[in-house]
Amino acid sequence: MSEPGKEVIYYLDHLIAQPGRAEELLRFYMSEYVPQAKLRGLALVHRWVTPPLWLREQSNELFVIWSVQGAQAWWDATRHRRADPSFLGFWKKAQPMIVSRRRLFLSDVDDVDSLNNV
Amino acid sequence: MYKVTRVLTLSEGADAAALIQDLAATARNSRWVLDWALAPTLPEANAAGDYIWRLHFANEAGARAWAAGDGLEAHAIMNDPTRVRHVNSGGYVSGRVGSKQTLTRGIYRLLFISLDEAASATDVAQFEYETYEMGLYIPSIVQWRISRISEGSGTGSWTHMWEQEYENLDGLLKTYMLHPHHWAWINRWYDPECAEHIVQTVCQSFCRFDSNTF
Repeated sequence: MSEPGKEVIYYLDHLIAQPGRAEELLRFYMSEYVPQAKLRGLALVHRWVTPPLWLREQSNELFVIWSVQGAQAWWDATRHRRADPSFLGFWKKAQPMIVSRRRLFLSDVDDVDSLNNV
Repeated sequence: MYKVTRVLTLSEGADAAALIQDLAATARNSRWVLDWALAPTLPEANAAGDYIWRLHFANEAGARAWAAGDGLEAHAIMNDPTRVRHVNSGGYVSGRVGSKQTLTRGIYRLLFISLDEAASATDVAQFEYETYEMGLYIPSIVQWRISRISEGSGTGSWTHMWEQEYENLDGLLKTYMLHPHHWAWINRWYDPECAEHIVQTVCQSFCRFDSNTF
């Protein structure tokens, strides 16, 4: 359980890559998205792929996980992201490599009570 | 119940007291206006505009009758560039309402919302449901309503009006903002980086109220 206001909040980018393009998509994500996101206060935590080999004719799924500390930091990062058109530009350029994507916000289950006690 | 809600930005140098008096007279003297409130916005957190004007009618026909009678003067005032610089306006049948108690004073907050016209009916319905649901999860929201705007104008093509009442400013600026239903759940409709994004423009404002006009 974290200190109130300092709970770790995770962002999960779940990307289903076009067949055979997952490695290219990840490279593009790392070079174009990650530096900007770090500048906006996000910490890169994990980069996961399933299955753990680069499929040539089917889709890999990528799970990129970020974190911030506390809901206020979440808002600060969000305001920075929305003010910077490069983030939307990234997704537009990446779209041909993506079948579908979803962004989720998560926490440790032990922090749920604290996060809701606002 | 049909409502017309407006956020007015006054022109530089406009006589605010006279303007408010003149606008209020167009509501006070009309048999079509069932209730109304006109209050200055609060300066915190970039609330839009200078005044929020709320008018309640029995139905849309009543609003039209007012607009064609006493409301003509209000229309003239709001279109006088020496007095009013900008207006965001929405007319709507009262939508789904939630209430935990009735407040006689507190903070009224509104959000004009413009949804992408390409959004599917399923997504719009889900967005409306989750917006309503915020009042069920966020303890500081005391009364709330999500409505579909039938006649809107201003900085966006307004499709929805999301209204809430709070006991105090902390309920809005802290509890509402920091609750996970807001940032971890409903936000995805507003965030251009989320695949579910359908909200194109918003305009938020808030004011104090000291009589129940919700």
